[in-house]
Order: sequence, then C-alpha cells, then structure tokens
Amino acid sequence: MKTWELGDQKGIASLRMAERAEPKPGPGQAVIAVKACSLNRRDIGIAGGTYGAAKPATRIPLSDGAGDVVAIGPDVTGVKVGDRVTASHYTTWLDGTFDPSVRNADLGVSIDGWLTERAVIPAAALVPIPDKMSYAEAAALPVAAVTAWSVIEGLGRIKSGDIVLTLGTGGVSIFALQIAKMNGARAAITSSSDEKLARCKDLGADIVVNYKTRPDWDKAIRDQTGGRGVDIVVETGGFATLSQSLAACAPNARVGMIGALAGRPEAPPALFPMVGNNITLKGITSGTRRMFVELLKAMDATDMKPVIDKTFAFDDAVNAYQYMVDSDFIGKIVVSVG
Amino acid sequence: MKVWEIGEQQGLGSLRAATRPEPETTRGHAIIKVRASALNHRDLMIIAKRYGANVRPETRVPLSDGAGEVIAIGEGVTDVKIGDRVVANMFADWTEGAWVPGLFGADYGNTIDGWATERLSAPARSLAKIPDHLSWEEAATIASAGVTAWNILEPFGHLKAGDTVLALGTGGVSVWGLQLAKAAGARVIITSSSDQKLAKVKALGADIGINYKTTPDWDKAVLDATHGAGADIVLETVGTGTLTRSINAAAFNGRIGMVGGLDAGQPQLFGLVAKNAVLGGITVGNRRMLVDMLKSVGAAKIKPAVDKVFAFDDMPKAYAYLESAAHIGKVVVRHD
Repeated sequence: MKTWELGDQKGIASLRMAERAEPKPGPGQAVIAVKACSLNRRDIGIAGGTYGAAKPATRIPLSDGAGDVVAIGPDVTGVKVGDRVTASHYTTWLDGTFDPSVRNADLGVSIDGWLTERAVIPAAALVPIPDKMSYAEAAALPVAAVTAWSVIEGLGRIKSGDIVLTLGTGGVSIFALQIAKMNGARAAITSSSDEKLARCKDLGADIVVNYKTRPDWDKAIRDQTGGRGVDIVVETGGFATLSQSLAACAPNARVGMIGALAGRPEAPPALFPMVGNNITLKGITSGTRRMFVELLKAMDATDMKPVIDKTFAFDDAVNAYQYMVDSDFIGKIVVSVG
Repeated sequence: MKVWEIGEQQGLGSLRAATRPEPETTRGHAIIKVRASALNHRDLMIIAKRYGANVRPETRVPLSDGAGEVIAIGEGVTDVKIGDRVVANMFADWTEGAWVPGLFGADYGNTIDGWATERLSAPARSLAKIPDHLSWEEAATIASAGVTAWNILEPFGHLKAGDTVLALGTGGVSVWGLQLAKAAGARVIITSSSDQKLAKVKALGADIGINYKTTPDWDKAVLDATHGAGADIVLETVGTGTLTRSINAAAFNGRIGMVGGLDAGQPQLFGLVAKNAVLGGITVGNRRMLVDMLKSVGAAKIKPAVDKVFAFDDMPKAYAYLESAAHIGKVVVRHD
C-alpha cells in the first residue's frame, strides 16, 4: 500500500511517498481503508519540525481522517469490519478532564496518522459516522470541529440566545459559527476580507466585522450587540487578540484559548475586564471522544455540513499542504484517498 | 444613633463620626441592631477614592461586612423575623444566578450605606441567618471574604476531597479559603512573607506554608510539595503581579480564581493553554452562595480567624491597623 511519511521535517517538501506492506491489526487496533483526510494548521508546523520534538521520519501525518474498518485485532469490541468510522485524534482521551499523557497517542503527531491508504488506529478512539455524512465531511471534523465544540459546549455551556464570537475564517472558526447557529445562538465573526465575511453571512453569521477597516472591532461587536457584548469567545487569534476579545465580552462570558493557535504574546493581554465582568478564560486542547460523539449527534440532527474549501487527490497531498500555506481558504482542506 | 461616614475620601483621616435619627421601618427592609462589623481591603480604597466610579456622597456609611440582630421588619418581609441573628450578602440584589454589573448599584458600604452604624436598615432579601456557634465578631467576617473564597472553591472550582488548594497570602479571602477547603477534605498550601504568619495558618490547618520572601520561586515549591502535580484550585488574591507564578503552580485542569488588583506585572498566560487551566474573574458572590457557605460553616463548626477587635468608637484605629497589614484573618469592630 501507499503511504505518506513526514521525512526529515524541514518543511512541506520533506513529505515523501513510501510503499509499505499491508498493516495487520494488533490487540485493540483496527485497520481502516482510508477514504478521506483533512489538514489542520498544526500539520504545517509538524512538517516543518516546529511542533514539539522531532518525529521519526517514517511517521504518517494527519490527525483527521475517515474510512471503512477492514480488519480488527484481538480484544476489539466496539467496531466491526465494514463500519464507517472516523476517530478522536487524542486516541486515549475518551472522556473526562485533560491529562497531558493524551499527547503520547495523538494521531499524526506521536503515533501514525491518516495520510495513508490503510491506517492502523486504536479501536477505542473510533467513532461511527452517521449514514448521511460523507467520508470527506467526517474527515473534516476531529481536530477543528471538536475543538470548537469543546469551547462552545464543554466550556461555554451554550444556551439558545447566547452570542458566540470567533475570529477569522479558519477551520475552528467556521465550525464555531456553525455550532453556534445549530444551538440557537447568534454568531459574530471577524475577518480581513469582506468577501469572506459575505460567505460567513451565507453560513448564518449574524454579526460580521472587518478587522482591517475596524481595528476597534471589539467596539464594533459591542455596538452590534446592543452594548451587551458576547457570551462565548472561541479565541482563535491567540494572545495577540485576547485583550480585544475580553473587551468584547458580556458579564459571565466564557473564553476558550485554542492551544495550537495561541502563539506567544508580544504585549501582555489586558485582563482588567475579567474580574469586573466575572469572565472565565480557559486553555483548550481539543476535546474528548465523548465530545466528538455528541458533535456528530448534533450535526446529524441539524443537518449541519462542514465547509470544505478544496479537495486534493492522495498523490497531490503536498499541494494540499501548500494550499493551506498560500491560499485564502475558508473552512477545511481535504485529501481524498482511494 | 451613631454612625461613621466616609467624608471627603482623601484617606483614613476622612473617616468621621456622625449622629443620625434611628432608621424607619420600610417595606421589604429589616432593621438590624449591629453587633459587629469587619473591614476589607477595599474599604481602604473607598476611603481614599480609589474604588470604582468614586461618586459616593460624603455621608455614605462604610463597611460591607457585619452581623447583628433583627429588631424590626417592614411590610412584606417573610425570610427573617425579629430576633434572628443575620449577616447580609455584599451585593444586596444578587440573590441568585449569574453576575450582572447592575448589582454594583446596591453594594453595602459602597453604593448603599454599610455596617459602620449602630442600626442598619437592610433589604431583607440580602440577609442570611448565621450558625449558632459563631460569635458576633466571628459572624461579621463572613460576607465578602468568606463568600469570595466559597465562590472560588465551590461554584467556580468544584472542589473535591483530595484536591490541593493554594491560597496566596494570609488576608481574609485566603484564610477563609483555607478553612473552607479543609472542611471539604482538601490539602491547603499558603504563602506568606512571614514565618510567624505561616505558623498561625498552620495552626488553622494549612498543610504547607511557603515563605515567598525566602523562597521567591514559590511556584516551584508548590509543584515540589505536590509531586509535580500542582494546585487544583488557586485563590489568586494578589493580582497580575503574581499570576504567572500562580499559573505555573496550577495543576492540569486547574481553576484559578482571580480577585486581586489587575494593574501590576506582565502575566504569562501560555501555561493556561498547555494545562487546560481555567482563569476566572470573581466578584464576591450571590446570596445563594452565602447560604451554602453558612451551611458548611455550621456543619464543620468553622471558627473564623479574627485577628483583632476594636471598639466602635475606635473605627479609625481599625482602618489604620488593616492598612499596616499586620493582620492574619479579619479586623473586626464591636458595636456595643
């Protein structure tokens, strides 16, 4: 079978195609005939050797994917051959609070991922795909959509009528917008492009602000919420935007800082609104398998479809990476396999 | 009756004694014969015009904490009766639910008259009955510091037995946090600049005391004392100047309740993300939290740490003593 490997991690060009024997499942493992994968921002860092310690050159990249179970190892009970599945990328974080050890079994990072014709995945992490959801749609979800769900539901405990703010139009942000809308909330979103904001309006965004023309976008959002501010922030802009996000918050707001996108602040964020407004700020490192199951149930019930910007062929996976670096994409970039 | 007023708010010297007619009984209000009151750091800020919008009249009666006996009730009052021993929630209108900024409109000792008086007319919906084992002086310390600590530990922190709680300093919120956390089966670490104060908090039940003068990297000391795990809940009573170390000292999924000043230092927040930790701004709490906290105080027979008691006529001395920061626990004033 054909597989992609990280190679020496000096950049996208280090990615290399390899030929391997068909994998056999060990105890607790399933072999998946991969149908689709998707990219996340951190995959660029992993390919460039800037995301944690160096990985083995033979590591198979990508945390997101979906396919069919074609073989199961001993002691696998939750899935059977023929099941359509995706997986929680922290394969040992099934439920409960965060434990740093989950990083030791992270698909495409610390264990082999999805960018291969046949993937070996810990069966406990697998999640069945709803019948009406395509493989490409399912493959778009594990990192970005579960992260958005973790902020909005896990931390934010969204209620209908809440206002959710998210920054930019990347994968997490677009999912945040859609998850807010499916929960009966209003969605506010920022971008530097009026064209992208128009697209967000089509997706249901209630409040859109161009942060290029409105550098005081926190005030613009406050004005458009009748002065009240927002209840939940999916903070995809990192520490650089945190001061303004906090300034846009309503009393009792919940702010989720997304780990991989956080970066390091140039200036310390202004925390002053936090005490006076009883704001909660939490670091979010994706979410649990349980959250993923809840998300799929909600998507199935509300017919929510992921926004897929562009799909690349398996042999063109390098171009998918390059497209993520170069283009003004909205939502997710998918690789079709097989 | 005698009251104290905040006067021109130019500092401690502005505090002035005055005489007023007895309060009248009005609808929804109870008249309380005040038996003791207690001071908080913000009372020093209010008297110096360094708190909030600073639009208080000179005749404002200070102090948000006190305890007393109901001696009259107005029409429509059903929750308390004459003879009840009561305290009041600091935000008189915050009975239940989530915070709204408008609650500052009825804030004892700030936007409405407080406890530095012989008789107080209080909205009855803000009152809660105190456990029998508490003296007036002890009960007077509860409302703001005690409820703040409770809010961080329970509604915000979801404290469980076996959790490690870190409290910074030996002020009212920290010492209340220590006592409430111990009552709930937690392990408690307290920092102070004084070994003498650390000995006192250990006598109150603290498991570990860390002198941050002699151990400036006290965050590492907290990690060492917890086998690298860190504190599950942090009572961040100091402010942004200590926040970086508080985050360092926190456990994965730690809850850091922030009540302190937000004007100093350059906090590094990256640890929040790496640890999936939560940082929450805490503005005291609601009456429901006060009632829940009093239930715990009654069940565990907690005796609040009263540092020193002053006579009502010596109110300025109580302020000066609080400002000297020599206290552990609360500075109290007796009213009889």
